[in-house]
Amino acid sequence: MRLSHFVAVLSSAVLASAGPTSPQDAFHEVLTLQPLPDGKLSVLFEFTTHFSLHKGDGPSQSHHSLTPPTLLLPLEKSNVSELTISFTSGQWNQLRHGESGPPAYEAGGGGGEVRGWLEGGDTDTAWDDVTHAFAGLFCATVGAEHVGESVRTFGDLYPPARQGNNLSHYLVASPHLHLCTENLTPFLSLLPSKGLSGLSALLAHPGNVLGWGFKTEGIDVVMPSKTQQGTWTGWWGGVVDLVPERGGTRGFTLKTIFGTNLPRPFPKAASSTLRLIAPEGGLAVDPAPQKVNKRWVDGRRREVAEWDLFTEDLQDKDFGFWWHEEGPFKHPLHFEPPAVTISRVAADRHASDATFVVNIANNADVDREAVYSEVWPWWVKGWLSEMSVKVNGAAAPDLIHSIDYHPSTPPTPSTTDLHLRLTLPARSTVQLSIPFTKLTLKYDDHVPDAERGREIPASVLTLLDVKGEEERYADKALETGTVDVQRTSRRRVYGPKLLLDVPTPDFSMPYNVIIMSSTVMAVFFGSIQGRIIRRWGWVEASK
Amino acid sequence: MSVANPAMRGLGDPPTHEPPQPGTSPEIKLTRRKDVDAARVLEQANQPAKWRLLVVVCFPLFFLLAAPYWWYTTSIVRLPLPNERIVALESQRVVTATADAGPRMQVAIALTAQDPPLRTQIWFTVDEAAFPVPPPGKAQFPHNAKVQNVIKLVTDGVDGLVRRDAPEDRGERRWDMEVDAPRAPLRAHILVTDTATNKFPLEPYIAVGDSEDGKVTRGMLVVPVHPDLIGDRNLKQHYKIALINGIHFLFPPHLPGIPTRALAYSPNITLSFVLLNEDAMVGSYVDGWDVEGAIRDHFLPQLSPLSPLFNFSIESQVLYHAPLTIDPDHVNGSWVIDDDGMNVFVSERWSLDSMSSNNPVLRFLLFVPSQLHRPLKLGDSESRASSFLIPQFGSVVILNPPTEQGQGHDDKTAYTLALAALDAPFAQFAAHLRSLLAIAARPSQLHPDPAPGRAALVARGVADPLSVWEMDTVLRTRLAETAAEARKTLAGIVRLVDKIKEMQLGEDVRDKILGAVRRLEGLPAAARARSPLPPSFLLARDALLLANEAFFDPGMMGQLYFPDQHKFAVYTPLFAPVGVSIVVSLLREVKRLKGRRRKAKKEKDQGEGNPKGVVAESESTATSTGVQTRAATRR
Repeated sequence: MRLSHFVAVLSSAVLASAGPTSPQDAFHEVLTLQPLPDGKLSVLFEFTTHFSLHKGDGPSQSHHSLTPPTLLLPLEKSNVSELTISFTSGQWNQLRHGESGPPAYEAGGGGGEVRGWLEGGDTDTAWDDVTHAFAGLFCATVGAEHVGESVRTFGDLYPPARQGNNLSHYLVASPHLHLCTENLTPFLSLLPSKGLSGLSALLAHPGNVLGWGFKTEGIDVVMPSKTQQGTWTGWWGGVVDLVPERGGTRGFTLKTIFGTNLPRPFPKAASSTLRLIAPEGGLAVDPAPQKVNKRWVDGRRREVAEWDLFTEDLQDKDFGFWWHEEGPFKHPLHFEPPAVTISRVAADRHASDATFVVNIANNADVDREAVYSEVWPWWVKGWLSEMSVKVNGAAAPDLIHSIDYHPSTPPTPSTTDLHLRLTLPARSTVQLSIPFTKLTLKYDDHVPDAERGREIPASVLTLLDVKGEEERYADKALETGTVDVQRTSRRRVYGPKLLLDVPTPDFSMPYNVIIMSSTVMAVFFGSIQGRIIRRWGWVEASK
Repeated sequence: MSVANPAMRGLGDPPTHEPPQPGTSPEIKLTRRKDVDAARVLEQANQPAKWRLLVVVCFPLFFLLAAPYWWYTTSIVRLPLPNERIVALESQRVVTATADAGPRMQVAIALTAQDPPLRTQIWFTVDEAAFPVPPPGKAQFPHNAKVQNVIKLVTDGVDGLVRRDAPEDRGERRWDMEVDAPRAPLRAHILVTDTATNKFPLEPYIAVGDSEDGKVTRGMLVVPVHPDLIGDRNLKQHYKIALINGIHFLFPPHLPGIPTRALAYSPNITLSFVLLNEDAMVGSYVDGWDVEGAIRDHFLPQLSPLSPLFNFSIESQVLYHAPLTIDPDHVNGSWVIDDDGMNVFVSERWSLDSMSSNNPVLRFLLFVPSQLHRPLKLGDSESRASSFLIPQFGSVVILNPPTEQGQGHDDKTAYTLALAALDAPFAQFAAHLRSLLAIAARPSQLHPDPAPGRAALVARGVADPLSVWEMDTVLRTRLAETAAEARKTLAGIVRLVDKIKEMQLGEDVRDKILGAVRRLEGLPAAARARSPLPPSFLLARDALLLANEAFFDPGMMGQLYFPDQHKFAVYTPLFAPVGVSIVVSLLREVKRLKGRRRKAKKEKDQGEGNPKGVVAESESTATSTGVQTRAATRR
């Protein structure tokens, strides 16, 4: 290779753009650490790529550098405008962790969830194609078996980021899915750093990462429009125990959590940042952060420390975090509740009846406007006429402003969707009780191991009065610790998914019937027939 | 015996049950009385014979009546296949070129074994000035006669070359040159031009574009001759040599088959270009490349002529981490990958697959080794080879960035590959593409087009686009391949359906098979058309698609896992005990009927005269244990 053939571009290289007007693709990675009040640490990796589609001239070409073709080609083919896939495993304990949900705001409820906006006419087949393509990519059946099982009524709760023409919203929740290595490996292969450099190298230890108690993984893709670039974000979050089993201090380093030092950054990354959201009472860190800002994070003003990982002296260093003058960690007995908590149980269980009892606690000083939504499979028949709403024990039916109810239509595969527009009064707990009956499933509809029961998707409370976390001029004067529950970007708070046991028949009955009838026939047919056609004869007794 | 005997029941009384006396066994003591008439007792105790027969016959009758319903509900749809027509297609193999007759094949499509093989027409023209003017006094031949003369020379020359092979290995000449055939698909021309070389031998070429004066059209085989050469004594020989060099090597007498390294035919193919950095984190790496320009210059001219055959979709990506799973040896200051290493070079972990469609993919990988493995060589440390082909997968070109002394891991240079840097790798990729699609390389006897606009491209190594001459061979090869595959698949279906009796054959599958058979049968008729190759190819391709769809139809698998053995294993424990009873009772009834008939006949024969009045009455009580009593005779 002759030297003259190479064009050397010196450091902090930038991809030569296809044309002077289209902005370049850029890849950013952020690791956010947030210590929680109960001695645990919330970890969130976010990998964001801003991209445009490079189509080339000539027939059906598609060129990628920082973006993976595995992700974008199926979306292009099926005319998808936005898509979000999330897997969540474990439960986020709202009270003890002090937040209403994990720091990844786009993560869904328990299990797997895929939702998206599709453009154009025949979106049912396109949705089927997309979910099958990503089911293949993530090795998890995220799609619905029948297109009727996709929920269509959540469009208002997940408004599109791009206005297109003729958009249709689809949502499929698969609460039975878990998160495992087969979901982590394709996630890493979608990143340009492939789990070998930069922050993704911290994530590339499945033995470590999949041992966390709560984990969530997901991608959120917004396809480019004619005027704007597209964005795709991949996130991986979890909750790590900081305190050893036999007790000890909470202090930690990156090496103790991830098992390895900080790797060298990915050279093509436009930015690579480590962020720490300091807890109440502060935290000691080494090395010192390069930037410390006050930010609104989920309704509370906090201090956020940042390190730019491209800095030369931070390479291969271990970061240490510890609490001043705190010896062995003492688990607090009281926790300050977050703004909104939800709990949901199935109470009063009988053989095929029960009652959903949902407790939504608004711990703030202001009333909240919200929409509470549930998705039930067709065999859960809720008795909405018997629904009752109570606030702190007293009946309060006025809290519900409107009900949007879409019952299922068996025998076609379908779901029941319920949206309640309600007001949550300040400093009170709203209790919703909805009795329901479990309908009989046909013999063939039962899944293997039917006695385990079946999960129903997590319920979601969408807060309508959130104002976002962007800094405003007036915020500069506010101190850390100020609480304003509406200054958050978290629009949705998820209740837990539930395991309902389905009344099961005795599955051995057909076998018993066949065996029994065959035996009866075999044993008794002969004697019965004999009795019918017996001929009596005269027997001479010999003298 | 007194009537008062409680053990004796009167004849006309209904049987009463008396509890047995203690100490006695509970059996009825039947003592013989003169007036006890066994026959009358039996007649009353037994049901009439006709009833018994009816009851016995009811059971098998029920089975007989239910059998059609059972047959109807358990039978599978198996429509008949056109077996004879499929077998007749096999004999088509004799007259149609096949791909699986080894490295040598029969050459052309013939209608029957007796017809001459089908030839592509070439319209041959010569400039007026290309023939020397005869001196005055010599005969002046018309231009067409001279052209015909040249044609005869060339044709005889090629026939001679073909005849050199032994008769069983002999190929065929599959073209004909005509003087006046304006609608022929191919054109050849001898052009007098100043730009040609003024030395022999002549340099024939295939024109890429039309010339301004209209004499040269796209795809024409041009033999340029300088005006100074016209007076040469051996001009005609040189024309013959130039034309034979051009045509004979473009149309070799033996049609090449599809080698195993090439892809089997599929109408949609994806081409994937990947720039792989082994490790972008360590040292310098390549950050981007002008792949769109390289594809436009090197690949699109080769791909557009193939549009009747293949539908290409192109994608490209850049990988920044592609670690090698093999350890190259460090020899003489360079890193060497040997043959075994090349076999396993492409690693699964690179996740090259984009999974966007089910098309076969050809991948062209441009591999930039990391700082630790530079320079990377193939084969041995002195070799100059920089690429290798992976059969049915694609090819790899190794690109070693320049290494300057004193730069190592700290060198963070990010190179961008401009179009000039990509010329050599993409020229290799284009050649590999032809090899992977079973398209023969342009023979070396043909020179690149000397048109002025192409000089820059030729200097860069950009190959001439695919010409109609090469398309002729490609169409023939693919036609033979698809027709042979379709026939093989149809024969396979017939064998499969024959072997697995439980396989069902629905209407849509049968329609697809019929469609494929019909198209294959239409091949000889299509071969008679003026330009027979494209429509024949379409027929063969559609036949192959239909045959594959029929073979892999999911409906054919429906009953496959419920073989007859299972069916009988379920039925036998239910019906065997039942069946035994029914059959045995039937047999006994038949025997008894026969016995009665014999008795009746005997009575008739003997009339009234038999003193003994032997009455043979075979009696039997049919019980489930099958105990028979002996026949009792009565005097």
